[in-house]
Amino acid sequence: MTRDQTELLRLAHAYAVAVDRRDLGALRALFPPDGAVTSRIGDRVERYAGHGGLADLLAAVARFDVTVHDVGTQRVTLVDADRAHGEVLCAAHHVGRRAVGGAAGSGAAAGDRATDEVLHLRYDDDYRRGGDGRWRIAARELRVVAHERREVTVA
Amino acid sequence: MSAPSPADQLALDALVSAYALAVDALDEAALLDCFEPGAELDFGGGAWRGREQLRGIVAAVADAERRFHQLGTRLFEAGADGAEATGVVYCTALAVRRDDDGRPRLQRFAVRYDDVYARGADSRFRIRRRALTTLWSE
Repeated sequence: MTRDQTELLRLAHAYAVAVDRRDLGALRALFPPDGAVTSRIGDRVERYAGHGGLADLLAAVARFDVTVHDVGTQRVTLVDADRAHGEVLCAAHHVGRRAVGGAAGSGAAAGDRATDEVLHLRYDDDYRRGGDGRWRIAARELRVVAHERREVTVA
Repeated sequence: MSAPSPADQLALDALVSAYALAVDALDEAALLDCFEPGAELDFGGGAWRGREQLRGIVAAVADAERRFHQLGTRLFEAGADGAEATGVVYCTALAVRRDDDGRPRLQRFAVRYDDVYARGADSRFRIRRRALTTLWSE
């Protein structure tokens, strides 16, 4: 694998870990200042633009006790020396005592039953190389392909 | 911390995959080869240190009729001097065990590994420390 491919494939994993750790600094480092995530869940479209938008994105995710963005199928395609496109499938697990889009509730206690809202996501990404030579996510479009709810036990 | 070189990224990816495949196969030799001699695996309720204790990993899953460690998200970071690296790896671990009435039951565990890897004298990466957190089960 070339260095470009390795670094491009790594972006989706770095995004997943930054979101799941609620690490805004790490998340911002993956986007240029004008980068944006657009989420399409059914008819609802939400756009998280710029570094302020990424803080809102993390706040939306932080309503859940635990999230796991589990990256699976992945393909990156170089467009030219400084632009690339990516397709990423991700099972986004949202674990807590609340439904997706619902109000925040109390945290789950040890050994408790909880709900895992699983969004099977497809990301369509545009990557751009910055002046420092590093690849970043210029635009990420998120579509929910399927959605399920599982009853789980939290440790 | 920074992105590993492409060669190191592949080597670390192969290492965490080797661990997962060895556990599924109950291959103790292959599993122990993933660890430094003095390595530690912290599983929350306790820890195993050194190769003798690390055999406990195989013992802990050997009662399951089938095992399936499916790795998903993984992010590796290179240490400053190239001798160490760290990683976070997500794993969906499935185990099939029999109920008292003999019917197979599928258990699913969402696991996160927080790892430290060390490059050995033979330049291969091995696990120096792995902290295993079970996030939920079903």
